[in-house]
Amino acid sequence: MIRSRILTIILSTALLLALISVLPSVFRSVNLPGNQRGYEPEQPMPYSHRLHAGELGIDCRYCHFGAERAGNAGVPPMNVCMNCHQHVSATLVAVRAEEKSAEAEGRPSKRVISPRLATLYNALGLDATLRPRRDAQPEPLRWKRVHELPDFVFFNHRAHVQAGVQCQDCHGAVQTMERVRQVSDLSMGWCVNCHRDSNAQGLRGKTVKAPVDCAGCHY
Amino acid sequence: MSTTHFDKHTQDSAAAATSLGDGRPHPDTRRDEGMSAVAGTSTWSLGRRAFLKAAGFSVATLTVGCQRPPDTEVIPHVHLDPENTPGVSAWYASVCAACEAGCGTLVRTRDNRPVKLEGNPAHPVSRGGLCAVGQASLLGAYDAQRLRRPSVGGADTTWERLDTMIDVELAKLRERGGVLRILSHTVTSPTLRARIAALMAEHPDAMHVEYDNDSCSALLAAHEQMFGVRVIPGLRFDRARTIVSLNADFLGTWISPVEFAADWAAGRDSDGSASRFSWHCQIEARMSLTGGKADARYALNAAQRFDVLWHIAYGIALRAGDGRIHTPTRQAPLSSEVMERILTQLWEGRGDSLVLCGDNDPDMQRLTVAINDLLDSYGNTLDLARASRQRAGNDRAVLSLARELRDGAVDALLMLDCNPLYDFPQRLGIEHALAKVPLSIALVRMPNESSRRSRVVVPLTHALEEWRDVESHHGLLALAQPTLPPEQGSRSMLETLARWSGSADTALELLRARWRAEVFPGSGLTDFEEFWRETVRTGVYDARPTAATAAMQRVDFTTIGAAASTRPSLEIEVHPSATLLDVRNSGNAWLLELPDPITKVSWDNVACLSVATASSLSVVTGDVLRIEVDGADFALPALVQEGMADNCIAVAAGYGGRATRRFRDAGPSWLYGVPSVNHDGVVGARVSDALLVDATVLRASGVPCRASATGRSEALALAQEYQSLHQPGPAGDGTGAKRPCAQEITIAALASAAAHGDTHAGPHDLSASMWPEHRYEGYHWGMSIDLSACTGCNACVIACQVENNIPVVGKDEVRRNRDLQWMRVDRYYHRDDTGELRMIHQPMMCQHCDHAPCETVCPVLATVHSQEGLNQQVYNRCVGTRYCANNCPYKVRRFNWFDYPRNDEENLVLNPDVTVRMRGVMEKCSFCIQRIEDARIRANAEGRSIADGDVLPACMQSCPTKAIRFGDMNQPDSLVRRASAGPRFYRALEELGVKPSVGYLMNVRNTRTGKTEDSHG
Repeated sequence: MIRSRILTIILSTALLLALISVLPSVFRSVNLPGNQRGYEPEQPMPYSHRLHAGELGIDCRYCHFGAERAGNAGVPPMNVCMNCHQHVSATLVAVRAEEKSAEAEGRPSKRVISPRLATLYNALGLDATLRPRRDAQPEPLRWKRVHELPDFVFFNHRAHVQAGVQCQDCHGAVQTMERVRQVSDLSMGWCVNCHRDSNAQGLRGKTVKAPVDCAGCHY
Repeated sequence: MSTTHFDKHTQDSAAAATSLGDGRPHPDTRRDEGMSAVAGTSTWSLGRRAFLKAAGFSVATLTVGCQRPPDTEVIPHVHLDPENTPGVSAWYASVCAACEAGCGTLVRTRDNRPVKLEGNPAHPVSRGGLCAVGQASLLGAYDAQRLRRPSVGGADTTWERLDTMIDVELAKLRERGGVLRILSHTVTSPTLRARIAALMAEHPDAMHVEYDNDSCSALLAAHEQMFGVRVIPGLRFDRARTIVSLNADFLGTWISPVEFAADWAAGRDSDGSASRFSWHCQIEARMSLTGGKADARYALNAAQRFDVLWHIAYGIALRAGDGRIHTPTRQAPLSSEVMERILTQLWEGRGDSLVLCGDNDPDMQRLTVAINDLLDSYGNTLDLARASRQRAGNDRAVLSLARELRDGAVDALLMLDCNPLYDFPQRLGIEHALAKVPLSIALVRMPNESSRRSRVVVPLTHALEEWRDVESHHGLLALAQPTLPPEQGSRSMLETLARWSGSADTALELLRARWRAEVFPGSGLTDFEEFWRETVRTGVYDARPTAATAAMQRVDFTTIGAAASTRPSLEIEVHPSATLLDVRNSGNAWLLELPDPITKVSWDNVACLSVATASSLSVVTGDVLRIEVDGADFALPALVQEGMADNCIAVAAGYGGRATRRFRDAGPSWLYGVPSVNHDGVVGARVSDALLVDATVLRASGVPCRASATGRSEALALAQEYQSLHQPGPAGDGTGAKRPCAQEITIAALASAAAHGDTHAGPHDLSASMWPEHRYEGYHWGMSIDLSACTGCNACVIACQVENNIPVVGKDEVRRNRDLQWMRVDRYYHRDDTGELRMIHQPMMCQHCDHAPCETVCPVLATVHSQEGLNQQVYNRCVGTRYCANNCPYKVRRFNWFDYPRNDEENLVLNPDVTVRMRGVMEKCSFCIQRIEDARIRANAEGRSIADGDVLPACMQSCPTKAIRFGDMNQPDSLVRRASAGPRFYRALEELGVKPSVGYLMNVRNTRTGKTEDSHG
């Protein structure tokens, strides 16, 4: 009788301890309503940040130039893609293969278009030689928005970039992501903690004055 | 994990509910069962408890299941627009088209759509300011009711078919020598005028008739008679030391109020020496904004004004030794001391004097010209070389056109963006005559009274969608560039007229051709492209001549006064509405909701009466009067108005048009909602029938009328229900001490205060406080408002409404004091030491108190103090208790009782930098925090701190007289800090000890008494 009661006590204590050790990780992995951390929607074309920002090392602000000038970083206008992709329309391997087979067949080599980029060219209304098609109007791609704040918050990219905040500080290591995922929870507490820390310790060796008033963001 | 948790919780509570229900059946449950049994629909009935169970479970499931709101899309541009980075404002110079004044504007666009109109600081007419009507004209660009295709005989047609048809009709007209008449408001665009001339050149009999709603026909005619040129001289209020104005509301609505108000304020240097402060006397029948600011004001009827003018002319002529003015046949209606004072002021200061007359009366205007000539005003305060082109309307031509129309002599009538059926009295017979015109063409943006009776209706572009040029003064040219693509199916007036006069050029090509030929050669530049680019960028090309060359013809004045009319027992005066200006703006919800600056009535026009007149008609405010003028009648609610002359009714024009029918459902729809229109289905009443058709003019003042009470009464939407600054006296008659919230000082008292280095110290000891003082280490934002410069024009109210996405709430909500405008301009009356009635305007918005009473009562900390002295309102925290509004001594907090409807087009006008608030949230002035943040980010990017003048709140920016100053109180040389140092500075209700961040500068009146009266500057 006593033994079974002791067993019960031991078991329940173990269960309690297990719960205590598990709970924090449970709370971390489960989002409260409104927290979109981990959101990773499928995009209209499989654009790879890992390739462009990571492997090729293109600066984030080359495409998201709004981050330096405006409140929104913005998604690049599609003619920014064409700055490179009017020249690069397929992988080097595919282009070499086409050149080789063209040489073998004794014909001029054709432009090779990778199936992924075809989505871009189609949207821009370009034909296989990347000239505007008569029968098609350019239609912008409709990207899924990953990072979204409520309408009563005014986050300004320009202010943060000027102050020396790195893109990765909020967006995570986008240069390693095949598809972009929301890494931070973008909650007010998360914002304010960073503002307070930066005010206390400075940001990358610089003293900054990050607003901690409500009206710094809400107006 | 969390799903399980929620499920379990739901099941538990559901089980609890069931057991409770089983154990103790509730009467309600039984009744439910009984009802379903009676209905007998099925054996399974959903009882209340079962329903609650199901509902609770569903809510829990939804909460857990729907974590992610629907995906939002980001749609980029296909091609980068180098001028427009998404999210960054671009500014374009343009010209306001709400009236003919032609204020230069800057259009703020975001993502290629205009969101705000501001005055262009480089333009000499607006100088950065812009009136309420001009700013609100932005809304018209997004009007859902705009015409989208031309129509002939009520049937829609295409532009090609229309143009072909008009070509054929005009050719036919030409062949048989038909009569073409073109009717328009004053045309200020030289290129458009050239196109009209080109169209008329093909029709030898054609005539272009211009008119103005606030007609200056007699004024123009007088100058034509005296100087041989039909112009209005440039008025130099900044130079004038003595201003005597008879019924000219130049600070409110007359000709070019933004320009005049700025000049008038510049001529009254409140902080300098008294010699640089003009003396302004206003003689008028109704209380006007100008009369409220005057140093001396006399309420006189039209016939009395005539006598005063005659006496002034006679008195000045005597002093000048000129015998051309007849001896007045009647006594002056003002006392001899007053007359003597006016005459002395004018004569002693001749060369710096200015006499104005706003009455459309040929004799009065000729007398005014004579007086100004005798006073050497021409060449000094009246500038004929820089003559104004803002008015060209000719009533005589209008009357002869009406005669032709009645006789059926007009074969084609072209109405250019005007509405004669509304604007002219019915007794002119235009409405019936229009049906007889074989080809009647109305060019309009929105359907109106006249377009409904026209055979051909041609849609026009909005002013923000077209290339345009404007010559507001002789030699002062301005260019407007489009900031929006034209509304589908509309075409600019210039292009339409060009097309019909044989040119297929676009408006831009027409403008460039004319500017290259006629303007560019005078510029001294060699490259036209450079000249054009620069003019488009700045929006203005100033080639005004400097020297006046006008010789006045000697005219005999002896006939004047012989036919002076007799004084009617009751007269009516029609004046432009201070909020609408005229019917063209009556489709604008912002302006209809804007309270009249004097009557404080919104969503209505009223018949203003003096106390004596009201009691003789036995009506009180709100009683509906039937007013009869020359056979026509209309009904209006009466309003007892301070400062009205006896036996006079003043009514505002511009209301009651068809365009207002759309506001039936303005404001929220709810159970007790009342339409914003009256029982006629329109807002207010059309009063054009009160215009008197005279021999050569359409008279708007001194018109004999009859009035009687209808016995009906209406609840007016009054934005302010208290009038007097005086506390109720011992007898409860409003003769007690003055409340110190809006303060006034005479120029003599100010001079002595300044000499003694006094700064204002209130009677209260404010050193003791329950609250700890705030310490502002960075910026400390503050505002000061100069009541001496403030004319009460409402420009700031509309600027705030546009900037801060403030919705329109509708007439019924205003009546319930639920208006949402963050700013209001309080209007008070008081009697000064000599017993004179004075009106004073006080802009009132959140005072951003250091010890804010609102902050201490908010249970959820939704309103808190910032480190820079702002009283912040956090919408997402607010739960809507309204404690803060109850505790605010200034009553400046506004509550969103509803979600106010906006249609899709109107959503496009919203400022993307400001949250659109939802129902149940408190809101108020934020000192335009979005502009502060924008300035901060710009300053940080340049590695500096925010400089004085970097932050321009919308109200300050729009103010024509620069009465509002905003800046950092911690900066020793900032404008706002310097303003707070003078003897005029005080804070409203400072005895409460709430320490507001907004201060006021006392209004200054130039009431020279005793010895100082003799000193002239």
